[in-house]
Amino acid sequence: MQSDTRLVLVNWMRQFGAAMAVYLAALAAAIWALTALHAGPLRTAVILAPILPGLALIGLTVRAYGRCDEYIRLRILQAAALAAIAVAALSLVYFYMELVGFPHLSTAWISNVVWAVFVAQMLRLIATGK
Amino acid sequence: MTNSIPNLRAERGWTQGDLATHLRVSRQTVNAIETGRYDPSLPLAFAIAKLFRRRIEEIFQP
Repeated sequence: MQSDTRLVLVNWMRQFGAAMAVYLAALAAAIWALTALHAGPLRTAVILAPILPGLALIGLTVRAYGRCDEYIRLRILQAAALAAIAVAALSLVYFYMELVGFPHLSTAWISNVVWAVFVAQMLRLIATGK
Repeated sequence: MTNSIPNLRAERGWTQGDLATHLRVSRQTVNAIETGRYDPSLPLAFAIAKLFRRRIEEIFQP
């Protein structure tokens, strides 16, 4: 992989990892605030705080996409498509599982599945170049 | 689609990385084109043809 393109992907992974760490910290604070804080502006702000690093994950990925060449862009789009297909399949299956008694899940799991599938493919691309 | 890029590249003693640098794409892109896993866009195909001073149909065969 040409150094520039590889550097873009490696930088993306570093920044993505940092944003994910901030997101998880904000998520932990939000979960804590749900039970520990009384209703008010502070509680609302802490609970909504994970939105910003969550959106940063998307922004970083879009920026990296714009800096890659056409083949790497295709691979990024393929990774995004596979992540979307995984969510479509899982949501379809679990919808019917809920009807027969499985516990109701928050829609937050969609974001987790998307990023897990997407990042796994990107790590493979960075590690193997394929 | 097949192509004669590996031969043209070898004639010049270039590595895939060298060709990638000339074309301003990643080495992985060159590798994917050479192995037939990826068909380049028309602008990139023209850039390859111009670099090797050949017509596109002399380099790429359906």
